[in-house]
Amino acid sequence: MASRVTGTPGGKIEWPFGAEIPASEQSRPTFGSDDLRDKAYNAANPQNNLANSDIACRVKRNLDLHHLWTDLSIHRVDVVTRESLPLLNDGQVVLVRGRPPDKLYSTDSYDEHDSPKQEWILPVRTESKWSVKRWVSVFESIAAYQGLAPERILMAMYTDDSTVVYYFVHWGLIKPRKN
Amino acid sequence: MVDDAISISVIDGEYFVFDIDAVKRLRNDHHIAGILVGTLPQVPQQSVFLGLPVQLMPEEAALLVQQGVARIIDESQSHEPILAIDPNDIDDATAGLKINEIESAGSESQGPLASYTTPAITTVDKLVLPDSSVNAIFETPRFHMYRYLHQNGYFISPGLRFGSHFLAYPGDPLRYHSHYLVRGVGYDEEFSLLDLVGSGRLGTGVKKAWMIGAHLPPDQQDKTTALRLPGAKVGEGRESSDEFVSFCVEWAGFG
Repeated sequence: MASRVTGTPGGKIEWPFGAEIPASEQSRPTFGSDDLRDKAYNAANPQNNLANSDIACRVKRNLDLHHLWTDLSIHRVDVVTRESLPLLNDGQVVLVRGRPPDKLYSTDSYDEHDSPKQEWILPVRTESKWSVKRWVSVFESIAAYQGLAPERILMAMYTDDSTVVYYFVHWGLIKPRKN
Repeated sequence: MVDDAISISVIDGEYFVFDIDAVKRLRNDHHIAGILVGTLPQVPQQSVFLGLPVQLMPEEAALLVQQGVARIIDESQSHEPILAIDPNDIDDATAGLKINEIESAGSESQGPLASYTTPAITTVDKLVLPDSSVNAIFETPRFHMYRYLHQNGYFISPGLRFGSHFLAYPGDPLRYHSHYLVRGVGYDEEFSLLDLVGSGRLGTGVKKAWMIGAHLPPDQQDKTTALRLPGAKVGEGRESSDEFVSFCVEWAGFG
């Protein structure tokens, strides 16, 4: 990047981007509208505090701005086996879907447009607990939602210190990746 | 019980095999390697060269009993007849046990020591514990996981070195690196996501995957069939069975 934050120790720091945030940045369609919708949704559903809808848009923003994913969208997926996901009071789980900038595995194939395939991302809080039954439930719900069971999902672990870590969860046994 | 059943000695709740032929059979026919734990009486601290006995995990002993391959011997009871020997008759007694030493020696170069075998205690029926002595192991999540991997042809060793229950090898551990750090849980059992982060990152760092799985309750067993991917590639030609569901976790490579 050509412009950098410059300054001398103890001196005034110059902000290189000008005083105003450009209008194009203010209205980034990839996350702004979902953000607002989720805020309104959570305000209308105070019992939903434990749900993952609020962190879904933060994960989506992280994928968008930090990891340069594209085609990002937020999906409310009906949970098929509801009792297995007690943290969701509305009977839905909020998932993110998007396309990585490049293949995540060297063995992955591209889609018909020579792009990396889209991934399902399950946003969760790091401090929460998980179980095998909940994974089965999430795979099952995605299968019912899109008519096809995914081979794998990404689990996005979100913490309040702004860290987000991503882990693959594969259905069944897979050969470990070659690095 | 077949006559050539492998004798597994239980000593203080741990399982050992003392017979080298049984150890060979376990490795070749049942892909169970176990761990050599015997050291030298003169140099008990060295742990570089270990020999017989082979120690088995409780799950291994239980599976072998379940398959009718092995029986469990109560080793502490088998010591009683020996301890009961009158010290005055000790020479007669040892003469009776006397070692099939020199006979099988064959080669002069090895000498008598090479063919020395531990005197075999005659296995009398009362020392054999009933198969039910391992029943408590069968219902544990660890056992379900062990059996699932064993059925899929994996060699399995203890997983403590990587903080898991087991390590699963695609072939003999002398020839292959392990593929999975394995943890068996109950279907409903909660685990911390920090465990997932830690184990997943460790596993990916050493070119393995963290594998976690559970035995499905009978009323849930239709689920895996419904979720089985039509024509999807399944790793190494294997996938979750109807009774067992498993997941592999790896770091995504970013974040």
